[in-house]
Amino acid sequence: MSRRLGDRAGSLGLHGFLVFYALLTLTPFVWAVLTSFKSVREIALAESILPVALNLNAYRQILGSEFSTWFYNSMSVAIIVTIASVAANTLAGYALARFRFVGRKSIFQALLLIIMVPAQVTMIPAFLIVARMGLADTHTALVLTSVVNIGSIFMMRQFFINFPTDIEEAAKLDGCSPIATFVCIVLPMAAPALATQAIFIFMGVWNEFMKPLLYISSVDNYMLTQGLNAAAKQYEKSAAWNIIMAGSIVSIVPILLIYIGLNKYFLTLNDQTAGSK
Amino acid sequence: MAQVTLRDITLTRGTTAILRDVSFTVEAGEFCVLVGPSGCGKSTLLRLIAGLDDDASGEILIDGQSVVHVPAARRNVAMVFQGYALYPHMTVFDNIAFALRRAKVPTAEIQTRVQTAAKILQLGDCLQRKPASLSGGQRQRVAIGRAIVKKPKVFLFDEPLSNLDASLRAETRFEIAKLHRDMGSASMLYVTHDQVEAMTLADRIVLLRPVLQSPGLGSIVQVGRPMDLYHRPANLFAARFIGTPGMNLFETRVAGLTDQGVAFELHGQRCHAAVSNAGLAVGDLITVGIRPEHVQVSLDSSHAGDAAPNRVLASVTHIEALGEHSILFTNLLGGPAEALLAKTTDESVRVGDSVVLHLPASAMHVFGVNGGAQVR
Repeated sequence: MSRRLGDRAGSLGLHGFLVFYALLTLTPFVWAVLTSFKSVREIALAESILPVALNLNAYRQILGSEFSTWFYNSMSVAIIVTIASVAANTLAGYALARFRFVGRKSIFQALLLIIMVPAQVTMIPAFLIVARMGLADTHTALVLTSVVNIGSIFMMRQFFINFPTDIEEAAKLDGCSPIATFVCIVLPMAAPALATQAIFIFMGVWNEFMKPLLYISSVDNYMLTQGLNAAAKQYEKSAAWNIIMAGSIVSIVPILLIYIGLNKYFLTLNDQTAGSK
Repeated sequence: MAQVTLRDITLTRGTTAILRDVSFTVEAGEFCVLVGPSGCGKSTLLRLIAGLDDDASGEILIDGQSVVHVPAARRNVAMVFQGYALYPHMTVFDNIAFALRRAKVPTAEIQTRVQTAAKILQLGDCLQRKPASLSGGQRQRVAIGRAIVKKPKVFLFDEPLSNLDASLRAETRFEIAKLHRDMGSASMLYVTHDQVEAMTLADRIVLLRPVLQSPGLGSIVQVGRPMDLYHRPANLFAARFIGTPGMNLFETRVAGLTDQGVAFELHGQRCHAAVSNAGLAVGDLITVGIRPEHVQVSLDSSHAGDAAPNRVLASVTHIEALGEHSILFTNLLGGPAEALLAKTTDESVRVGDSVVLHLPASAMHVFGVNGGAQVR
């Protein structure tokens, strides 16, 4: 009896802590959303956390400004990088996992060495290279320097090492060339890993701040993070926190949608072969 | 139907010998089982025939044509894998039809072949389901269906029943045997480590040994019909492997050579085996064997002092009752402790009983110094 009470108390305590932590994590977001619906006067008076009415002026203002251009810039770069990166990393991971070729071990060791070097160390040299190529202040520079993601290559290599070889052998006996095996059999089964890659790469590019700050100088070419940072400095002076919050909220919508859309693949990542055996 | 011939297949990877001097022929329409303990290279042999591995020396011929340089997809073989290797993102229909689509077979013919295979394998209700929703037995049948529709010259089975439970294994074994008959007796090569599968399915058995533990010896121990391997094992390895429980084996020396065979002593009792004594001399070290099912058990201990040949006294130490018969674990008396297993249907035998074991001369096997069997 006392053991059951003890278990119950422990369970209540754990749930209570988790609820508290969830509230702690969500509070800033909720506060930002509520602030985005307030007027500047309401924010200045700080009478209540809740807005008096759902004021959409902040959203109208932010969407009518250069925010739309920056949003479009970030979206196009993120989508292009995600597609190209997932393709390149997956092919590289598959080659390293499956094929025996001269230099395979050396390439893998080189990748290990490269990943040990912090990105901040290579950022300036990379900028100098793209500047020499005449790509400074272009989105092409951002794309080219973001396509290869060594962490994703390692992830895909590990995924394909654990991939059952008999399925590929069955495909070989069924008349598939190595490319057909990869496209028709391996890729569909790798959907969870590809989706996971896509989520992380998209998020990484979308949230990137240092690289755009370094590579992009024209306001029209700004990425969303850059633009929001510049706008925040401007609106901060006039205490227009509602506009700043509206911009922040709108900027996280794509990430939310991507995660919601690809979540089911993310959750099935460890069950790649259900049904094959 | 196609004849499959292997000649002098030898495979070494690094410093590890996998296969050595493998040569045999599977006749057209034959069901040939490759059997042996783990590590003997039977799955590797199957993979070489399929074209999934190509690092062995020697010749592989299908229908008289060498296929050593022929890609796997063009060898006209179909393989059923141990883990089924179904494509989990495709329906059962698509799994079975996949190879036909790759070969650009007309859609109508694909439909016909898949439906026919589904009917044979009782998969008609499952065609639109994905493999994850099927039972183990159903997945196995899908894997077989995928092989059937290709209408190959040779079927290759790589331990297809090892992932199934005992009752399903027996049921699927029957289905595979039925399949062999229904398919117009297609040539089938079947790999298993289970001798029950080998004995029940095979027209011919190829018994393999791990060459790593037998330097200088070839991979093949014996090739023959199941009952040939059972009644006339070529050597000690075959004698030990075939039969459940395994053959009782005792080391002794030749005590005499007669017209009827070979005389020896077993725990002070004079015994003889009705085998050829060619190549043997009195005093030679030999191994004698008898299968548990051939040992005749008698509870009548009045023969305890009897010097009748081929009769030994033993004490029952353990009984495994299996229903239709029991396996008696006995210790032979009158000498160093040696166990002898016997099968009996006599339910009155109890642990601790003294029993007289009659070892008929006609059921005895004799193996010479090098392990080779004397002709019976």
